[in-house]
Amino acid sequence: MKRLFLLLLLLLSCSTGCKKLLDIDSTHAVSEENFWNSHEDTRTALIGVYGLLRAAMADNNAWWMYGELRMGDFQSLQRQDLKAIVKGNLRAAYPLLQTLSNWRRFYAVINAANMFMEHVAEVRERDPKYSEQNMKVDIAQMRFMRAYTYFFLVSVWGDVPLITSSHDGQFENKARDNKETVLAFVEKELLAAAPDLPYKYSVDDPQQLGQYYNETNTRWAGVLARKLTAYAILAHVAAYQGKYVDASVYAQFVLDNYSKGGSYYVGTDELVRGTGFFHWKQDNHILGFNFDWGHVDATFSGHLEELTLAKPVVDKALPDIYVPKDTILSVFNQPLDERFSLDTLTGVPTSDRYFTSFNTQVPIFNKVKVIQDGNTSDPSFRIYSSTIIITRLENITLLQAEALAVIGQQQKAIDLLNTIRDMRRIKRYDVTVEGDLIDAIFRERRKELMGEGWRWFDLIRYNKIKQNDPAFMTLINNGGIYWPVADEVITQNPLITQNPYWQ
Amino acid sequence: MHLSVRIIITCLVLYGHNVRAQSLRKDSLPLSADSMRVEREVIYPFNSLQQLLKGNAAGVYIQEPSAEPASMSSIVLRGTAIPYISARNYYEAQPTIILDGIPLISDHPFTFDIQEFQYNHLGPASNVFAAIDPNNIASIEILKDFGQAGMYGPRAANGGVILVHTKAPVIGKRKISFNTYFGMVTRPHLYTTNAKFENDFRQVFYDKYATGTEAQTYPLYLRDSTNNAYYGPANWTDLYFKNTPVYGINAALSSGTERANFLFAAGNQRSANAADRTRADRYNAMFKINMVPLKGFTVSAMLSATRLERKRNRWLRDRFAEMQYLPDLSSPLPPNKAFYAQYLKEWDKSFDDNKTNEVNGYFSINVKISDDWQINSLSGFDYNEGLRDVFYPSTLLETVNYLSNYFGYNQRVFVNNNIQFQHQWGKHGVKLEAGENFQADFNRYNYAYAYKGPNDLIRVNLLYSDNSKDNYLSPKSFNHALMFTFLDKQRHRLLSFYGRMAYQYDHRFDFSLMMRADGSSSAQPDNWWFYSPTVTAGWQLSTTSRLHASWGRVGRLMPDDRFGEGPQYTSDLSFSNNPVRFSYNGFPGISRAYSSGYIGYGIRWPFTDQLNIGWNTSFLHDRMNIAVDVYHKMDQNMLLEVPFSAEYGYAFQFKNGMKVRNMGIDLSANAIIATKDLTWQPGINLNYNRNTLMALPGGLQQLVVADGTRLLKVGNSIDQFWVLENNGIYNRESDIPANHSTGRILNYKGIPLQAGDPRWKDQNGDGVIDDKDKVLKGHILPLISGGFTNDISWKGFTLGIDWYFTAFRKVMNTEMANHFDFINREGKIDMSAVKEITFWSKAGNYDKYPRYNPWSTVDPYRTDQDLFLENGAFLKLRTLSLNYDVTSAKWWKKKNPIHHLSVYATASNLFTLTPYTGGDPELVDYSGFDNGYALPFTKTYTIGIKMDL
Repeated sequence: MKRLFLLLLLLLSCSTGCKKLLDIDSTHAVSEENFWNSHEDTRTALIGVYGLLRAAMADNNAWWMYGELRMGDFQSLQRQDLKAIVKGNLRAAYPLLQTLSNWRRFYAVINAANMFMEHVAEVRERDPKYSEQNMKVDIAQMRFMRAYTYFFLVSVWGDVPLITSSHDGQFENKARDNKETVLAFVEKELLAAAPDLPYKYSVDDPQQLGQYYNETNTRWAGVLARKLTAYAILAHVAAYQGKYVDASVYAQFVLDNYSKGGSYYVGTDELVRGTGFFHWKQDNHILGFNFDWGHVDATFSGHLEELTLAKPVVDKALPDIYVPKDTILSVFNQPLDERFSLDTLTGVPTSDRYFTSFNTQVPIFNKVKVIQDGNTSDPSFRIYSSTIIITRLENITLLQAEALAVIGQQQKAIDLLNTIRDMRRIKRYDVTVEGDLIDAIFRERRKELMGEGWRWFDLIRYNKIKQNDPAFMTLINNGGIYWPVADEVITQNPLITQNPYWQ
Repeated sequence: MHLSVRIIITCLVLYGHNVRAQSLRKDSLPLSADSMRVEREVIYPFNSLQQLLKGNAAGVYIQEPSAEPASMSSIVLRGTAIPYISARNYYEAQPTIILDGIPLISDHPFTFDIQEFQYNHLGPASNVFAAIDPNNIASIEILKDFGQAGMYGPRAANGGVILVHTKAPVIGKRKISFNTYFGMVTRPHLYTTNAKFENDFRQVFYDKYATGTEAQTYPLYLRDSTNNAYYGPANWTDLYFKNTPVYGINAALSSGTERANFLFAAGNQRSANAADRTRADRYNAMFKINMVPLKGFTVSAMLSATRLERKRNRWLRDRFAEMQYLPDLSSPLPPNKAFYAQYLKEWDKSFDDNKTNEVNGYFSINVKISDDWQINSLSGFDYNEGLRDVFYPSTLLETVNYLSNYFGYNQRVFVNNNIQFQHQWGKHGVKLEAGENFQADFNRYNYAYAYKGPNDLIRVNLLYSDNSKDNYLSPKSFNHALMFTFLDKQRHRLLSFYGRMAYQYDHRFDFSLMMRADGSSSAQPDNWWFYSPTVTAGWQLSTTSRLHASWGRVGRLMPDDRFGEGPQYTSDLSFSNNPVRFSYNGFPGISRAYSSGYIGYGIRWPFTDQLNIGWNTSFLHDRMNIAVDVYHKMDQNMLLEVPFSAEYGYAFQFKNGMKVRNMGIDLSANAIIATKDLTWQPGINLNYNRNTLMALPGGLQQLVVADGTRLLKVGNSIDQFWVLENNGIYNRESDIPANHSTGRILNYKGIPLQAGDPRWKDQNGDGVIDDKDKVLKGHILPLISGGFTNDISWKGFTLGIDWYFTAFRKVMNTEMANHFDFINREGKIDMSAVKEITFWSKAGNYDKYPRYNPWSTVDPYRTDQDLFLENGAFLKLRTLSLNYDVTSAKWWKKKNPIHHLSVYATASNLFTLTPYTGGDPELVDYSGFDNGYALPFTKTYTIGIKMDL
């Protein structure tokens, strides 16, 4: 009986210790109570938002799928799904197109930014090391990230639901909001964020004194949203809406202050070098998402190189996409163009900065080629560390030229256009030879920004200005310039309707 | 005596299970319905518990995705309630195997979190149940009704539990047993093809449909008909298939007295497949003791250790999946032996070591305080670890070499304590029991891989180990930026209390009730405990016939510790082709779990209710046994990921509320038909099972899952194919119907159909072919499965003939679909473009499929249509054996110290009868797809000898 008693005691003692036995924290996930406690948490969450947007842009090389391929200069060689995008056949039954039609990843960025803004005050309360200014600059970045993401959503899908709080735990379905409403919100937010953003981080900018999260300027160079970033995106947003007066004001801010942010005009050689402009992170990236080689962050996907490079640049028989010879010759028709031109005497390319293997069936577009760490010509391993560049100084310069040309300040526009042309060593703009200025500016954008994800959006703006292509105008007027919404998005939220063009 | 097991068995008598006193007559049947005598099976070269069970027990369906030795394989007990949406579900649906009271732990599917391609678990991916030596098993019992299985609580949620009882030590005299066999797996015949065949096949499509640009991009390897690598003789099978020896050897020594006895067994088995020189070697040892130091006080212990080494297949797919990197795929492996040999030669410079070590054991104490009272304590552990070291030389992949190391282990410790009271008052028997059970699991793995080492001589990734230097832990020769390391771990604890009482009247009627409480650390803190009852009743109709019924409820454990946390933050920075991004700019970044799914508060325990009514009887003086069980199993409150709120960034949300019913019949019948010399013992076991989805979370009526390939619809089964109905081809533009009112031509999701496109049935007649026109067809799991065994004995000879069959089951012939879909499988670098060496073979009839326009953007050879859906029923002659008992011979001296000696010969996998036109219909993946990646079951012949001293 004594033994029985002992055993019962054992059972009993165990039951009182049950809580201890069953209370285990997961090692995969951080619970609500273990987060939003210190400045390390805000850094992790802030980085999370940037990382989510990088993931959204890199997923299936989305940045180029949305912006570069459709009706652009690139053709797909064998891939049927890419052919469908190039042709604008966006409902074709390929998994890639279905994934690209889903906007979920962009809304994850928005939700994460909303979460940040809702919880950051808790950290301010709990962690004395988290300063008021640090919080202010963090919030400004989050407002920027959310606004930019909405701008991109509108560019791709048109009307999208505008959600400005996380609704965490009380999710409710929302219908699509008018794109004008969304863009008004975007502009308001960008304007609100801009004053709080510094030109650079960790350099005692008045908006951000001292070391940002205890890291030096080199660690943050070009990584985060800055004042120039906000104004550059403001210029893009205004131009997208055709508000060229506003666009010129915002763009002018960038052109007046770019040196404060460490930006400069990039020479052609630097632009195309493996260790040049697209390499890692730089102050000169007005907005870009990097893949830090040194921190084991290089990837196989999420780089233009994955689509465009092939033999002899990397070990791959044929590229996924290429610019056909005829297109190259018709686009780069100016002699001495450093990017690409034919020697007028011999008829061979003067350089292989933009294109190599020009004399084969399939020229290789190798403007962007940050293979491995960028500092190698080893073709054997297709891992890349180039940065996804959203916008850069030359883009803003040409955008400003476009804006000024539209609002009638011709000479200023020509000057800006020539700034770029001088750098690329082509003749200055001459109205008698080249005709219309707007055409000349868009031609220049086509050459300068080839492969940088802008071609399709440029075509839309160009046609909105010119209104002389009836087929394209039909696309614009019927919403055909937007992507269809993925079926699974519509199924899970009955308030979302398909773009009428794709019904 | 092996006490812990005995305790369970004696309990069962009272708790609703019928263990008949076995007749001593030699010609009667030794088996009860759901237990399996393993002695009969040890002569076959089976290499896993699953193979042992296959076709041998009603309601146990074994799904082997490949015949590669010791590779993953699954058990389905009385159907499944978990829709197989991803590879993870496969792991979550497995029933618990209990070895002598030790609930065995298996791999956790959490390595899939970091795998881009989920074909295999990381590491050796071995079947941990291939580590059990059948020679050490006395019997296997399958507890399916909750009257019995309810005792195991949440471990029984997947249809019950499987008890494996190892052999008990002998008492009184020494016994030495040997069993050994040797045999050969033989190469199968395959119809091989070369580039000429492929070229002729494709030319038809090019002639009919290709436009200028399309014709220009003809694959290089088919272009040059003078290239012997592709156009030469297709004799790659000479190198791919080899006749390979297999063997097994086991010895056991046992001795002792009533007060102390022991058993020691050791064995080694080599299993092999004739394909791709795959094999597995098992080395195992087991030691078992029982001691009775005081009267009424018994101590027993067991320790068993196994090592399993595998030589795995050489699929390109699996190699690229391991590397998470694909080379240029424009030149596939050549079908010609001379060229294929060059590739294999480079392979031989690689290594791929796969080892699994498993140790388990228990310690049990039984104290009989009086005739009525006893206390039992059983504690034990199960530990298995997997190691995989891989090195692929640079010659295998575009001068990039690759190295990876995996070490993972699964560990479980448990303690069971109970106290029992048993008393008989005249006709009234009462039994009471209270118990407590604690189980702690720990899964962990370390994984590291690196690309582009300096050369092929350095095959180990060494790190600097001086922790005073700056370069501490940085790699010595590999590039730090191309080296990726991972670590993950997971803990789970389960604490249970139960009490049960049973009452028996006059050995005729019995009734029992059990109440249990289970606490799981993976449940949310306000919902840790789950309470569940079980009741049973039995009626002994006669001495040989019994009717029994039970109803019980058991909880189902959450598959992951994330569920216990509620809303949470995790790393979600990955994207396509890069599954493991945790940082941006070198800092970790975390956010809500957008891709892996929202988990809110209020997640509750899923549970299963099962009603079971059974009848077993034997008649004709025990010459015939029949057992019939009818069951109704309802899985409720199950967790399912429901797509939700893409506008808040989430892919889906985990929600309770799925309800799945499995209903069916288990039938077993054995007979013994004897004349003077000849006896025939036929045995049949059969299961009919049908699952039905009763409800989805949140009142949904249907839900598209598995990336849009499957539909869960209330009222239908969860294992159905979701397909468009194919009615041929539109040969002419004018055949394509147009909508009467709008005049719009029939289109596929907005793409107008053209000549050369499939004639899909527009089910709802809206002029658009889309997902609404897909119908649910067929079942992945068979409605009927079972086995038919025969032992025919004459004098000392026994002829064993075992059949295995399934019916009412469909298979998607994906391999065929892929072959026709060649246009979408060229010129890109992804898994769909990988062509294995088996690409150069042909199975099935190509002529019966229409010649669609393969360039069409409606993807005419898609797998979500019934064009490739085939009847997957089959009947297999699985094993054939001839056994001769030498001791029965007249010349055998009875005084010979050898008291048992038999010699035997076996043949396995002899033939399959099936309407299926592809490969083996049995070898499909979890989604019912036959994608050609299974190694075939090869014919195996063995001879062996068994001896007891």
